[in-house]
Parts: sequence; structure tokens; C-alpha cells
Amino acid sequence: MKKTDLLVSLILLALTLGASLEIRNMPIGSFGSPGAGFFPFLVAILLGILTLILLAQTIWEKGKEKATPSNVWGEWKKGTLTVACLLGFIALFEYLGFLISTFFLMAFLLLAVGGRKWLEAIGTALISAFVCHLLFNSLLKASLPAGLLKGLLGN
Amino acid sequence: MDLFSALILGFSTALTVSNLAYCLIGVTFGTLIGVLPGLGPVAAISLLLPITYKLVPVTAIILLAGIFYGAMYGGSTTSILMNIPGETASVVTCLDGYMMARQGRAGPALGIAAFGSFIAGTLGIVGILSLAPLLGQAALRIGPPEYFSLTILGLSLIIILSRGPLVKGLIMATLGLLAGSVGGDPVSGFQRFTFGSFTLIDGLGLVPIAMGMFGIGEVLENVGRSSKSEDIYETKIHGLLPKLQDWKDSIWPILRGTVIGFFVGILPGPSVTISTFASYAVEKKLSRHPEKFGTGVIQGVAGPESANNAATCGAFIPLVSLGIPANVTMALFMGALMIHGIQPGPLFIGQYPEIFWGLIASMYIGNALLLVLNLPLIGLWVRLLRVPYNILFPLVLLFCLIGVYTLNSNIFEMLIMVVFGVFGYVNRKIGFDGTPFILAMVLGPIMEKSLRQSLLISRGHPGIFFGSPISLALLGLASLAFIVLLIPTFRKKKEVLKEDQG
Repeated sequence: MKKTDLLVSLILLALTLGASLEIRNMPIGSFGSPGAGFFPFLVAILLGILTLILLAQTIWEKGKEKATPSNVWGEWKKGTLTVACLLGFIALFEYLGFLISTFFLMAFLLLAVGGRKWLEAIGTALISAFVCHLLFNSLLKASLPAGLLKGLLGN
Repeated sequence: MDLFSALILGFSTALTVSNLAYCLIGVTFGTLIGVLPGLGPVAAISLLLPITYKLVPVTAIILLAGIFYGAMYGGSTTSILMNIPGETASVVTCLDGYMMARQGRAGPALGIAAFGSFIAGTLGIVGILSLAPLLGQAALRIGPPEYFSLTILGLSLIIILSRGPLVKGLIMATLGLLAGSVGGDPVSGFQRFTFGSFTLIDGLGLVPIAMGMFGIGEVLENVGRSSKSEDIYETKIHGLLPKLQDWKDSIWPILRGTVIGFFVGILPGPSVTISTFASYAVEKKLSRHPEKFGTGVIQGVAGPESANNAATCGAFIPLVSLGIPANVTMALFMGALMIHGIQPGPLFIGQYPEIFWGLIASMYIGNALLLVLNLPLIGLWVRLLRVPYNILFPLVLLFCLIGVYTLNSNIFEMLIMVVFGVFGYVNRKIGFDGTPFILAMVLGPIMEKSLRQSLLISRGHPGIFFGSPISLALLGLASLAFIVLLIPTFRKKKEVLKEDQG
């Protein structure tokens, strides 16, 4: 946990620096006439101070830290796979279309993350894709892309 | 407008066919989501929020309110039957509710939870009727310095009551303030942190971020856990109507829980959850047999369940009267209203009486629907609980993705949602609480606008915040809250509360 706090502190410091660089391009104004950059400027200062406090606390408590066995990959594996599936879905959503990309998303999640059997995953993915198509496109009239099935679905 | 005319307006608005239908959809969907472990009212509201954009404002709010208190009720079902809280406000119900189920008294536990929630909801609505217009009138007298101090107090309480160390809560709130400043400056329109992106011109968007942090983040955390199906207490559920003795044992806890829940619910932060703990503690303290709490006493279910429903009502008051959301759910409500061009605040009740009174009437109707529908549907919810989570979670993710896409048909917003889903997931793993972030993001623009207006009025002199008695009192309360936190005994009690919550 403390190593992560150290990493988080460094990331936050980088974020504070980045925000400060961007705030330089904003009109900060003055106390009597605050500009667009006034509030972000105060917030960035506060963030910097808090990050330094967190960093100091982390370093101060480093000696007291007990070594604990960790299975980081084991804990994060399914989450990472899920995120990868979601990103893949987003990348292909408009190209493949709602129906096809939903099928693949459901199938991958059920197989790779959910650990379901092949037949069950494919069947559930097919049914889900069609039911969601009916629900979102036909019933709720949401404009979801047809993608490769444009000629067939006419959207 | 007198109260009688207002209520007539409210019921005539709420009792239209479409509003009744959406109220029914809301309470049913809310209960469904509340029953599913791992998804709370925030995720439920986030999932259905995009659908409300096509509805008229009053119908949208009726739907969302139905989801909110439906989810509160649904959470108690899994607490009693599975010893798993459907959401954090149902944690306390597990203590005695599950033990009652193990003694073959699941029916009375579920029944008293439903009736208690109905009574508390009805009385809570009376509370809103009494307090909200008064507070709204008082709020007309407050200006930018008072509003700024109010947002400071609200944010302070949320930070103090958040999980994890204080400095992490402060950091999350600060990040939220920064996230809230992305987009056009509320005063001059100057583009901030947009990096030339059209998507970011209107800001990061409350909906993608809330759905990401509380929908996707929750799912990512749950998929990592064991997929073994949980034990559902296997018994035929009968006798849902409480007996006379059950009523005798429960009526005072219900009434006390209602009062506690309502007033605690007004406070910013996880007030709904806190109200349940407070009610349980009070009932245990007042009981002649406190040693029996935890072994299956009905008072341990009646009080907290009433408290959480009353707190749900109380949470609406700061939003409709002051325009300040007390928690993440209210922030989503606020987002829903603002998308329809309605600014909640002191003028809300006067400018949009049909929405306010329609909401009040629909809350009463919704509570009645919950009572009538959910008791017979308990069998259905139990069957739903048997569906393995690793089949449900892909559907939840899909609904989140599609829901966000339907906002503006923008892939980039889906990406924002997933990024914040990861952000929410990582936060949970490393001890940061997402609640201060979301609330700060919503309160940030209000805080900034009132700060700048105050400084303009005072020509840069910060004394304006201390010159007004109301502003001074609010800042004093915020400071006092931090000081109290730093006192060791209170800090220790807070750690115990967090362990119970976590």
C-alpha cells in the first residue's frame, strides 16, 4: 500500500505540474477581478500542497511498513482483461456496428473473464446482442450504428 | 400557493398514465438493481439517466426518484436473505435480518422492512413538505459569500466522512474541483483544459464519470472476487404480514428511525448509511435486552430500514431548496435537472411547482407501489439472486456503454467513462474514496462562481466571507468538523464506523 502511495504522490505531482503549465495560458486576474484561471490556480496550489503532505507521510511511515505478500497480477488480472475488452469494443463499435460488437464483447467477457463454457458463452452472447438490439434500437429508438450490417438494418 | 392546492397539483401531475407507468418502472428497476449485490442506487440511476433525456423533466425526475428508493428497498432483500448488503445502507440490516431468516422468520423481516420503509417514506414526505419551502425562502436571503461557505461546509463534511485517511479525501476533493473546471469558464466562457477537443468544451460530463466510477468501477472490483454462488437461506418465505407482536415491537423503532433518518439525511455525505447505523445504535441503547441485538430481533430491522428510507427523503431537501446536492445520488438528480435546463435552488419550488409537487406526490405513490408490488415479487428477486454474477456483469457493462453513447453518439464519452471506471477501480484498491471527487466536481462550479462573485463585490477583500453571520457560522462549522476529527477519541470512533461501512 505504501509503495502505491509513493507512486500516487509522484503521479499527482506530475499532474499538478501539468495543470500549472496549462493554467499559465489562462487569464488569472487578481483578487479584485478574478479571471478564468483564478480558481484552477488556487486548486492546483492546494493539490500540490496535499501531494507533498501525502509524500511526506509515505516517506515517514516507510520504516514502519511490514512486508506483505502480494499477488498483484492475480488481483488485477480479471479487471485488466475486462478493461481491454471494453477498449476493444469502443475501438470497433462504430466500424462493426452495435449488433456485431455487442456479440463479441459479451462473448469475450463471458469466456475470458466470466470463465463460462464456449457453448454457453456464444449462446448467451447471441441472445443478448439481439435482445439489446430490440430494446435499444426498436423500443427506445436509440440511434446506434449498424456498421457492417448497414444494408441489412438500414441505419 | 397553499398546501392543499399544491398537493392537488402534485397528485394531478403524478397520477397521469405516463407518470404512473414511469414511477412503476423506476421502483421496479430500482428494486432489481438494489437486489443485485455490488450495484447500488448510484449505478442504477447512472444506467437509466440517459433514457430520461427523451422524457419531459417531471417524468424524468419521477423515474429517477422511483429508482432511488426502490434500490433502497431492494438492498434490504439481499441483506435479509443472503447476509449480503445490496448497497451500503443495508449493511446494518444484515446483522439481525439474516438471523431472523435463519430462524424461519424471513417473512416478518421482509414484511416489516417494507412496511417500515412505507411509513418512514410517508412521514419523510411530510417533512419535505414542511421544510423544503421554508428553507427555500430562507435561501433567497443568502448571497454569494454564504453560498461559497455552504459549499465549503458541504464538501468538508463529505471529505471527513469519506473512507480512508483525511489527506486522501482532501486530494480526491481537490481533483474533483480540478475536473469540474474542465470546459468553459462559467463566467467568461474561456476554454480551460480542453486541449482543442470539442467533446471537452462542455466539460468532462457528470454522467460518463459517475457511470464509470460507480458502475464500471464497481463491476471491475466485483469480477476479481470469487464467483462461487452465495448461500441463499433456503426456506419457504411465508407470513409476510407482520403479526401484532411484531408491530408492537417495531412501531417505536420505525418512528424513531424515521426522525433520525430524515434529519441525518439532510446532511451532506453518506448520510443514508450513517442514519442506519445511528438508528441501530439508538435501538440497542434503548432496548431492555441489548444483548439480543445481532441474534435476530425485529427492532434491528425495523429501525434502520425506516431510517434509510426517511434519509432518502431528507436528502432531497438541500437539493430542491438550496441547489446543493448532499450526496452522489443527488448530484445525479441535479445533473438530470440541469440537462433539462432546470437549475435547482431557492427559486426551484416557485418556478417549477409542477415538478416539485409532482415529485412529492410520486414519492408517496412510489412508496405505496413498492409495498404492494415487492412483497409478492420476493420470489422473483430470490430467483434473480441465483443468476451467477459472471453472467450479469457483462450486461451491466454493456448497458453502461450504450447508455453513455446515447447521450451524444460520441465514442469519446465512452472512453471517458472507461477511463474513470479504471480510476474508480484503482481508487478502491489503493484506499481512495470516489465520493469526494464526484461531489467536488458538481459543487466546484457553484463554489467558483460564488467565490468570484464575492471577490468582485468586496473588490478582492476576503473579509466578506467573515462579515456575514451566516457565512461565518458555516465556515465555523466546517472548521469545527475538522477539529473534531483531529481529536483522537473521535478519530478512533470514525475508524470503527468506516470498518463497519467497509
